[in-house]
Amino acid sequence: MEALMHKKNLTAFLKTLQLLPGEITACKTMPAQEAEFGPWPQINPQLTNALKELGIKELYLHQTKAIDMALAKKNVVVVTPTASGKTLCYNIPVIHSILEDHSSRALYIFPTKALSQDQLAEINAITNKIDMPISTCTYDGDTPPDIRTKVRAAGHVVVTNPDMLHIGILPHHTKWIKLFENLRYVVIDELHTYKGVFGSHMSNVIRRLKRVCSFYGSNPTFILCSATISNPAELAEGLIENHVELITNNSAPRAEKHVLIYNPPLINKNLGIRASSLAATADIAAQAIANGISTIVFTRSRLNVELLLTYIRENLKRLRVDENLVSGYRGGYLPKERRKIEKDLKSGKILGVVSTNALELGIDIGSLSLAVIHGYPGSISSTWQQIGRAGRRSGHSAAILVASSAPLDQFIATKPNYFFGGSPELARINPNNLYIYVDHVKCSAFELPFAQDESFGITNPEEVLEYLSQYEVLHFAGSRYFWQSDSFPAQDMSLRSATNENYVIIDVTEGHKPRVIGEVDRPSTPMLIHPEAIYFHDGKSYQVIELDTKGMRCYVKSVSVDYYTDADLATHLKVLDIFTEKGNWGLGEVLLTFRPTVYKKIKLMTHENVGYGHIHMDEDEMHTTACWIKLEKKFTDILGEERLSTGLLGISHLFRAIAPLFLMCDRGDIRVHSMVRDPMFSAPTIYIADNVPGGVGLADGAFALKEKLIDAAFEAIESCPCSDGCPACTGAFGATMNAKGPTMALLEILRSQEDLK
Amino acid sequence: MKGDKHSRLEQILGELKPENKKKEICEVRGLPPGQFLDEDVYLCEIRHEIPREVDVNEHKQCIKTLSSWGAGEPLVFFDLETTGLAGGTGTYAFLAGVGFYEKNDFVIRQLFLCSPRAERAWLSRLLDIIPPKPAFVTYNGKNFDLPLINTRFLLSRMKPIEESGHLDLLHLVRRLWKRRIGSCALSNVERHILYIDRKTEDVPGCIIPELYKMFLKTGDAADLSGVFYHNEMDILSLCMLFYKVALTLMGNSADPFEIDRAGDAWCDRDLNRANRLWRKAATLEPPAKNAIWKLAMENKKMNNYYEALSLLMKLYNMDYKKIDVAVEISKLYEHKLKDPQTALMWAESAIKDFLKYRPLVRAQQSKWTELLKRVERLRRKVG
Repeated sequence: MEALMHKKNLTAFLKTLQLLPGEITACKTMPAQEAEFGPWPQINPQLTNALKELGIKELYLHQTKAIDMALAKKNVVVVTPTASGKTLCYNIPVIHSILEDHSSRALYIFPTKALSQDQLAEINAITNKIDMPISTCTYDGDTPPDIRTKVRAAGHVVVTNPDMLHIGILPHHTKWIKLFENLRYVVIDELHTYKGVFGSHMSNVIRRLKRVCSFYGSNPTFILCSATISNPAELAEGLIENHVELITNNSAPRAEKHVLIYNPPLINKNLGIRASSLAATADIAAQAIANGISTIVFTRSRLNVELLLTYIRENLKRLRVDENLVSGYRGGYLPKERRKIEKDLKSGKILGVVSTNALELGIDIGSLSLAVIHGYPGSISSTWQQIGRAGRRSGHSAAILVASSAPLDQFIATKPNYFFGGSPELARINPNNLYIYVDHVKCSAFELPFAQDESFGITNPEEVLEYLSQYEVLHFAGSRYFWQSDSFPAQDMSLRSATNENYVIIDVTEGHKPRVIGEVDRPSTPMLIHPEAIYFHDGKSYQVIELDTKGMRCYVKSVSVDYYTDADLATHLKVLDIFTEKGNWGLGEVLLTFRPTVYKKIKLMTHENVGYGHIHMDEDEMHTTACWIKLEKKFTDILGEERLSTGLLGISHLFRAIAPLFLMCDRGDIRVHSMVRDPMFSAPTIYIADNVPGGVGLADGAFALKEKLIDAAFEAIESCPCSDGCPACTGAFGATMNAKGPTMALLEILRSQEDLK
Repeated sequence: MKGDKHSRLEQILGELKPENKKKEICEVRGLPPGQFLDEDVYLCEIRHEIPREVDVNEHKQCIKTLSSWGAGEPLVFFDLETTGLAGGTGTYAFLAGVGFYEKNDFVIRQLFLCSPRAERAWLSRLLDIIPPKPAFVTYNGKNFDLPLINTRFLLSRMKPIEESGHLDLLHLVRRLWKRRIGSCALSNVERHILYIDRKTEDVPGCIIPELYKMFLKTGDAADLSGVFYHNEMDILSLCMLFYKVALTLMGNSADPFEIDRAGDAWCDRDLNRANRLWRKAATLEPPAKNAIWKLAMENKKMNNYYEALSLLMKLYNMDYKKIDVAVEISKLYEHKLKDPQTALMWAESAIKDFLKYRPLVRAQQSKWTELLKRVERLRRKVG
């Protein structure tokens, strides 16, 4: 790179990307859109004046629709991209209700603490312009005890998070009598984050919330906001178990935007190894910043934030540009530092930030011209949110997704239509997952005794209550179930996992000073923290020294290695119950037993296999739901035993890589397993199972997709540039067995056996 | 998930004991003497002749002494036995002990809840058996018993108890004796301050929830007799502790340590009283050195420099906090008595003491640097 003579504008800069050694596999232009305004809502004149003072003289159509619905006490979910003014959709009806009746209260629920702070600033900007004192406060783990009492009694708007609602508010509801008696609105922002286990918990927390509200005689209206997902109304209704009005048309103005996907060049075609995506990202970002283009860089891990920051600064130095024009921004930075970075970005003092997805959840950093996304963020909807970070109301913007060598990245880079054309993912929850459900029935019984015929949400909890009373946690008397245990059930439950048994990770690098650094839930143990596994935490790598299965402790030591470990599990799967079948596809309940046997050492960045070791651990089991596809007997003979087993291995790897794209989940949320001769069906079978005890609906999702999965797998392997299979398509194991041919053959058969019906 | 939910629940929560699978309502039996007020609400009443060495005037005096901590009339000693210590809305009380004076008797009423289904009736009876506008005396009642019972009233949609005062003895016990006895659990206070030993029928507080749970299952209250005894003893101890605390705060003790702590307890309410107590503690044998120090500081504040100086000298000769005392003396000489020469001498002697215990220099870095500055400044002044 050379020092720059003239600065290029964004359009000129995008043209220079053609000169990069890799390939631009997609370039889409999103057209500009004019603003569409709606009629000013029927709200208190004081509020109208306050908004006008703040320069808000008109409201977009989607805002007025949402406000009107909320004012009419209809539950509403608003789906809008970033920077479309969604906060007004709930702040206006909430403030209006308080102005009309000063005893009114509202509860705001945000998934994380950091978000609460920003929201508080937004609503205070409006309430400061109003004469009537409206008190807005956060109530979370950081709220000092002396302020808590005040918040409980006097807070008009209480901002909190699901965990605090679950453990700090609901079990002590008598202290919040003012809030619950007068609760008009419950605002749930970032709805799309409530999926899987977390969403299933949240749905039960809301069941508890509604029980407490009805005890105090209130019946709040829910206002929910979501980023773009395929099923916002379904998710919202699943969460609050009531009808919800859906508002999707974003009527905020939008300028033209270009979205590009960049795939770094292949270095080794046979092994499918590509040039470093980290270096490519740093290169693009540094060039942009040097040209004076305001840029945000997203990456998945905190470690990568620091690496990218270093690379970009080195590049800037080489370009003879001030290296301090770019800054990091991620969880772990102090709030004060963050506020300063936000300010400097707005004022133009710095031109670039490198961030983890901390920014993905609506935090205000103003508008930027370019987003560079290092690696596919894991789901279509979070990718769009990151893309949405670049964008101004006037003047165009761009986003570049730099694909890494991970299989899913490669799938999207080579098949961009799955990304652009595809509908974003479905967010699934399973509130009636028995593991989760039972825990919340306990919490709810602690909060208020259950009457014999009382419902819990839309469910009938009697069987569980009866069991719990025989189990001596509840006492049944006078046709009611009373909490009868000297414990606080919300205490040892985490809303972020299905089972509550967690391993504590203890760093014993300095033997005399052991330090707890984290927790791992039990189902992940065999994969993540088997003895000798490499465990990553806060950007550092540790090796597991000892796993104490009785005391649920895992001792680790800090190590410096350039590989990670991937355990092979000897998995057995037994179908216990078939829910439904369609053709060769099925869905049911299964018992998974697994024991890790060997682990592979895989080199960072290149995913090369650099060694292995044996693992000695006891067998573990899990009940969950699974979706499966069988291969009819007549086809197995055509293929032959050996090619069949190689093909199954290849397909399993492809499913593992691709299914998360459709199921809106992480790689670790599903478990793919195949058997050459399944004892239940006496046929070759591939299973996609929920990797959570009881399941959260991912297997159901896979069952709904069926052929789509096969088609996507076929396209992925077909378009892979390797010749015989590589880590990106058939997996590292499959690559050593030349799995590409058998895998494609088997996929063809699976496709045609359905067509023949 | 479909299928046999019961067996799945057994997987999640663990198997049931076979005897728990059947459920029948059991007749309540084995309660101590008393009477049912309502279905499932049972009252025991015990009358004690007033057990005090304290006469009526002294009794009034005790209430007056403790009035600024919440004591008043009618004095009502109050203690709950609950289904747990976790707090929150899932913990309820099943036995309320209420103690008060009636003519020449000390009456203890114990209201027992035979089943949570009758809680509302139990609560309304509780209001009946507590004298109106009570001034509660409790042990940790501000944090536990009263918030808990008021939560129960709210949950039954009833009005909380109207109290005219609330003295929580735990806070005063901590101030007076924490340093001496360590744990301020009531049982420990009984042993070391009131010199009472409970009979063997007493049960430790931590197993009470479990005993009540057993009772709910079997209906047999015989195993609860220890709980009734425990509660009665708590009320009696509360009553004795009330006088012990009041008398101590009046200075009615021969123990200089106690008197000194009593002075501390008064210091943010009645400084004169605090000073009187400290003076007493300073003159008893062996004198409470803490008290002398506090007296010296008070005198300094009141500009009685020579009095302060003589107290500090006394402390210095008793080897009490030598460095701090020397620094204080130096300050007095420098700022009040305008004698930098002597001030320097004392400051230097503090330095010498500091260096005798070198680890101190590191532990009290700021004190050390401050002292060095002081010496430097005084040397400049002296020239």
